[in-house]
Amino acid sequence: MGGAPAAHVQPARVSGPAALGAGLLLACALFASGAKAAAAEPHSETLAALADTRAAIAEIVQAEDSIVNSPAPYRRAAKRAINAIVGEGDRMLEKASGNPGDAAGAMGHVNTILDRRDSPPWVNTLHGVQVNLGAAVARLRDALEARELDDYQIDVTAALLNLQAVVGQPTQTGVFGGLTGALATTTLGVPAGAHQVSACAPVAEAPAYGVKDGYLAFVTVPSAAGTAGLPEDLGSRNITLQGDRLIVRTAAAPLVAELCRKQSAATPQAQADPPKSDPPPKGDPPARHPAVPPQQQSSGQTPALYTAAQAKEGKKVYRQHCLKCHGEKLQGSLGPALAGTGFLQAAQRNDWTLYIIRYLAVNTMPLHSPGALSPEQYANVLAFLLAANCYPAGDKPFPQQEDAQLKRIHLHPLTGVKVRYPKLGTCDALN
Amino acid sequence: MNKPMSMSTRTMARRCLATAVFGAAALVAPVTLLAAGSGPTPEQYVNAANNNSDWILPAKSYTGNRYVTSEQITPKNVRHLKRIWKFKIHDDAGMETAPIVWHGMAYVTTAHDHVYALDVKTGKLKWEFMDKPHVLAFAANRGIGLMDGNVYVATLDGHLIALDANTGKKVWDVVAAHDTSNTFYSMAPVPYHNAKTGKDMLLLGASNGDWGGIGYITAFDPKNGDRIWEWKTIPGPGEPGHDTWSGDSWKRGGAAVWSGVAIDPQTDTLYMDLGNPQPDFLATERKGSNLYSNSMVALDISGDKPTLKWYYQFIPHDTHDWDPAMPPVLFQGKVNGEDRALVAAGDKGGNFWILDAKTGALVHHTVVSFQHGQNTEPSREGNIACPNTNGGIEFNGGSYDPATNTFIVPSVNQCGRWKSFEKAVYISGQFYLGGGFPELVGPSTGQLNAIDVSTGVFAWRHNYNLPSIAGVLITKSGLAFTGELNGNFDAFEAKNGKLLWHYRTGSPIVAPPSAVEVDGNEMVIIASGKPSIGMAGVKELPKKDEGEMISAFALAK
Repeated sequence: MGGAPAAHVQPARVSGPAALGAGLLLACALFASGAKAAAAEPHSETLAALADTRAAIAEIVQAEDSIVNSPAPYRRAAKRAINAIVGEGDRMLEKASGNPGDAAGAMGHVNTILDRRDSPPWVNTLHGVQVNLGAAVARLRDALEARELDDYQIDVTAALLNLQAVVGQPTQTGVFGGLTGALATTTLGVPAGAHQVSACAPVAEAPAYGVKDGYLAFVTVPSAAGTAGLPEDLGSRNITLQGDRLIVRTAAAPLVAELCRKQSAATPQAQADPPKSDPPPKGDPPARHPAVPPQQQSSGQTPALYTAAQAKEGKKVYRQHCLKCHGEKLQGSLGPALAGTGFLQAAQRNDWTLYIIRYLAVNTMPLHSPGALSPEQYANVLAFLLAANCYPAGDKPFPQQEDAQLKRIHLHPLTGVKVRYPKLGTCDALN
Repeated sequence: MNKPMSMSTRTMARRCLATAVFGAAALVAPVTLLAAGSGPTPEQYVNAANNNSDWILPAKSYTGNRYVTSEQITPKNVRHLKRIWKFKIHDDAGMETAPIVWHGMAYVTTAHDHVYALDVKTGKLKWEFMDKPHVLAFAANRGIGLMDGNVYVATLDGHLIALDANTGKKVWDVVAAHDTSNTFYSMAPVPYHNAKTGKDMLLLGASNGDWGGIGYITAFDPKNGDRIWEWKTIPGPGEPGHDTWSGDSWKRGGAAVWSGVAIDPQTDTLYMDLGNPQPDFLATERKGSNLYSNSMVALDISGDKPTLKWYYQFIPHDTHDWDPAMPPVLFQGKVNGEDRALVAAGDKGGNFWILDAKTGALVHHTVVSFQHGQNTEPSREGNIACPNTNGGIEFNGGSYDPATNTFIVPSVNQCGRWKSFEKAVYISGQFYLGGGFPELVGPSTGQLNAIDVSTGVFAWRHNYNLPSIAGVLITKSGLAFTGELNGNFDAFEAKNGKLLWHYRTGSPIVAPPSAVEVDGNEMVIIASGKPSIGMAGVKELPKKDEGEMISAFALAK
């Protein structure tokens, strides 16, 4: 911990696009980064990690730009870069070379943010950051052992690639976004204490941060004359003027629009009044808070994809055709698990949609007689698989034919569901 | 839910590799190191074939030949063999391992990467290690490696783990596979000491050849899991053989190193059989012979990096996943009265091969399984070929008997109906086949074949009414031990194939037998459990089994 995040902030200059009028400039003093010394404030920690990473990059680049014959400056640069990454509590720190970063190091800051129990959308991004930081350190340590400048350069080039991935791009969500992506598109970009509004609701106040499920969709500021920097580069090309407010949309805006659309589609009112299909509608659709039936509430936004009757029939199919390899509780035996925490985590990691799962089942299973079941049997056994994974039953049956809708259903561990077999994280089994 | 992340930088970087997009290469320094304890020395590894009180490599010695010079159990007295202990295992899959035995301790792995350390004399448990890895496609583990007082196990989720051989406590744990979404480990890490560079290493091939990876074998530092070198099995752009792949097909070409390896320590030559090309059943997008898939390669590993000495491709441009599953076996055999250094191989297409170990030149090719439609590619409508994908010669292979100059190897007769897909789609974390696994057609049977090395012709054959995939152990006294899918553990007379003895373990045997002398008593050990997944669809299998276990046999006193 430590450091003074505010000092590392590199404001992105945002000047109004021509369409908005020449004199229009952003005033956003209110967004000056919180810069609180408070412990484990994710926003400032992220900024500090970014600053340390940039310091490490600067060290390497500076050495590369120098013209010397001695290996000493190169080695010193690699050591200083390592120090900026690992921080001062780490065994790998080499104090003598000095530390261009802060005491916690980029790794320390990222660890602090990740030491938590919930999983906001930026967690995967930061895991990617961790890995790339680790890889960069490994490359830099390899570079320290290089005898020839060529070998050194191969290693530091690889390290730089890793560090560039750590820095990432504000125009990307997910792992490719790195730290700047996380700052631009998730709630990591929201300074402590800043005003947040639902990104699904129409923009009604400024300044404010529009958030939804951990994503940052837009930042809005009053369009008073003046000039200022945004706290972070939002990577946006979409800046709109709406009334007396400027709305800067982030790279996560389309994704959030989709989330909002799904949320409203899941409610009876929304079905009666479907949102325009052409996203994103001008001015976000109004947020709705209808009474949700208790059964749906328990499973959050998880859609009901099959009927209970199908799952019951599917159990019989499973017993006859799948049990031998996948186990009585779908926990895996000769073959892999088909339900539970491990399965759903793998599904999330590999981005398996229900379309993919159905495709594999219908085309490659059972292993020694693929395609041998009837469309009804496949639909039923997939219903049973969903039931075992704690997905809720509903009125609409699981389709017996290929259905492009299933491409939208990404399997992942569910939150807020009651698990029947806590050890496995499953809800149904043969016995 | 995320685990709290307050570990050390190094551990954390390793742990999180699985979530990586940018796969990190060699990762950082050792975590903690126990002082190098007991373990076989390099000399003991080189001379493992002559040490009857231990069994320190997966197939006893670097040659890969399961052969013991013990002479206590003979064709005459084998009928007095009794089970002296049984150790029940609680896993739920096939047992494909022979225990590694060292100084009275037997180390056994199960399909889901549990490790058990047993007192080899009594079968009593000393310690156990329970891993719970994510299973990519099927569960299998073919044993541990032993070095520096550590037991090394490579896991189904791509980790390489060092355990204290005396206590089973974890010493270190690294994510060793490059891409755990399509790669896992099933083979045993093989300890090796390079006398020229003075480096100890663990040789470990990655299983990724049906899930869209490129095969590789890595030499890991046994102290910390760092990479010493790595050899990729598919030539990249600019390398010889790259033009045997059309377009970009090489990028997911397969050719995994997954069953086992053999080494000639005199010349520092590593022999490997590389797996099938991918997508397994749809070859239109990978025109060419697809090197070095379905090939044996001999690598010079004396230097800092391996170099290819020779290769021999058994089935060019394979379209049925008929890879040479059998690990190579090095032996001195007689061909036309001449003593020659030979190496044997077997593939799932039902072929047994003998090559010259120095040059890779073909000496004999013997067809051991029923073959049909071998040159027909799987079609969209479906067509039949034999053997089935899991037929032919399987991952245990067989052994050479110097007394009779025969090679004894089990085989499978089984046919399948293949259907290819219109396109091969790579789905992260799933099979990359371009078709489904074949539907079984007709009966499934097997044979135990004794092949005369002099001529490549059968000396004798024993017919089974089930597929036969267990390994073979040969004793100097003239016995050949093997197991059956019906649970029988058998002893044959090596010279004529006469079944002399069998014991019903009650569970299918897909493991190789091993033998050690403990306090002067020769003991034969076999694991049994579920069938391997490739055999799970065989309808002739017994309906019930008694679960996973290790059984040890000795002569009744």
